[in-house]
Amino acid sequence: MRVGAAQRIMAVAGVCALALIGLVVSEGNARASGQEVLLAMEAVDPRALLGGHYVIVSPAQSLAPDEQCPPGGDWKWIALRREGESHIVVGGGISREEAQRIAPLVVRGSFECLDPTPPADGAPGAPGWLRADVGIERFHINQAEAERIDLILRDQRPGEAARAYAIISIGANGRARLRGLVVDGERLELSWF
Amino acid sequence: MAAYKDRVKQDLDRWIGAGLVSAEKRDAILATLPEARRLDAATALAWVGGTLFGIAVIAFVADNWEGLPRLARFAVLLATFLGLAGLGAWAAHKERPILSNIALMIAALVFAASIGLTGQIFDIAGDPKSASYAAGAAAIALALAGRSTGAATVGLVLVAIGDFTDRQWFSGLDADTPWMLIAAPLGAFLALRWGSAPLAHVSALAIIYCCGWFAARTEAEAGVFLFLAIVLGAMAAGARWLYLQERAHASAFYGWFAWAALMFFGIAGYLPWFGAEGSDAAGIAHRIVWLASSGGLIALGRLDRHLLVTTVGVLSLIGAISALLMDLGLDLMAAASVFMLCAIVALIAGFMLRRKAT
Repeated sequence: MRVGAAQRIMAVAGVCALALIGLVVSEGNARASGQEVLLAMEAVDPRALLGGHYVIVSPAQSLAPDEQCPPGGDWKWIALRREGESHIVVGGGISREEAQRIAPLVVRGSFECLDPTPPADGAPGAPGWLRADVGIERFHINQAEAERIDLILRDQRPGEAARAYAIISIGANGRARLRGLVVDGERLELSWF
Repeated sequence: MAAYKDRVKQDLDRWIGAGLVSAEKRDAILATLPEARRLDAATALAWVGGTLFGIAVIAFVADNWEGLPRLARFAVLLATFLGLAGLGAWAAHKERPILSNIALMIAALVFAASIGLTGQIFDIAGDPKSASYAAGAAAIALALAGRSTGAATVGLVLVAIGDFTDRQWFSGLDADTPWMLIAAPLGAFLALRWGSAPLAHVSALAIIYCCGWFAARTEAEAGVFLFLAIVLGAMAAGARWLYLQERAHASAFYGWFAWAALMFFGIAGYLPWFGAEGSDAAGIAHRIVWLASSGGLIALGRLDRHLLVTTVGVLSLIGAISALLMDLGLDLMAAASVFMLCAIVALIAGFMLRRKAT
């Protein structure tokens, strides 16, 4: 039986549409079933918000003058440790096993870190910072909300308690997916609607 | 410009006047020619109206995009894609190949955009390379299903974008195999099978890109470029054979492969083999072969009545002459000697060709 061009086209289009629906459903399921962690966020220069309807998600933590950066390297995995309500990066590894030797909870990603300046000669020292890259860049939201979050991120000062957190879902394969943000205690979660 | 039938009418009248064709045959000959397709006012207005309606819908959706629920936005994307694919299917069923081709090409583009927009709507962090490949594969599948040269062209471009994403050119560090190694020959096959000029040009460029990828896997070695120049030269010869067999659009492959062969050969002369680690004599030999190849290509282009090949030969000749002058540090006596030698070779070759022809 010869299949006509019209049937072939609709069959291919149907497969494409189903693949897209499947992607959305599977990502939604993976996001819902992963382990949830909160990572503190900071504003990103030159702008945390690029004028549109999204916030740049930049997980970052401040390091006090008496702290040190975790050992650096070309890490593919990072180890997380719970600290209060949120998690912080405590090290990295090339493999999952290597990272898990530092802390049991690990996620695919890398980090860059700047050591703090210790106090010396009466000077108080300066805090350092650590920025994590877990493959999540943006949180899409309406423009008014995005601008409000941007202002909050910019109001944060090093050393103060973080006011904005990224809600990350870590899947069984270690991949991070964004669930939403916590801003001043308010939870802004992604939904189907 | 007069339509073909109008021009034939004028010629026929002239031939009848000259007694070459009998007047009784005039109407029979003209009846074999189809009337030129003209867009009547009603059809033109329908197209304008349809286009404006489409723009109005897009503007309305864009203005309310943020206000739409996520699922509604996703549904808009799917409906647009399926609607265009349905239009292509309907046009194919009604044997309107141009409309089907255009609809499937736009459907392929909409699907590519849908992948990106779906990621945005549901905050799915994706890999841009995989997204481009998926969109390219979908476009090629639509092209194969509906014999759409437009969708095939879109597919090749998307695969190329996927290949180009996150590359470290000429570092020798890239280990991924580009999808274009499969897509480009497929595109070339479809271009020749379907007789599509745009697809022929795009797939010829895609094949050249594959050669570039092979070169980029190395740390810019002259031997690799020379090898690829020879491969492209052989492919140009194959395309020339198809061109001489009057295979539709083999001409595009012939021209592009000839250009690429000379380009790769030219670049090879500036890489380490002939440079710091090679000898000056090897450099001069390269330029002389470059000059001779360019001259030969001009002759071949004229012989085959192939404008692109002739043009490539002329441009290559200019490049070779410029390179030689720079090599010789504008030593005019040395340049005169080399050019004189080449001129004598060209004259002898031309003389021998003329003698052979007579």
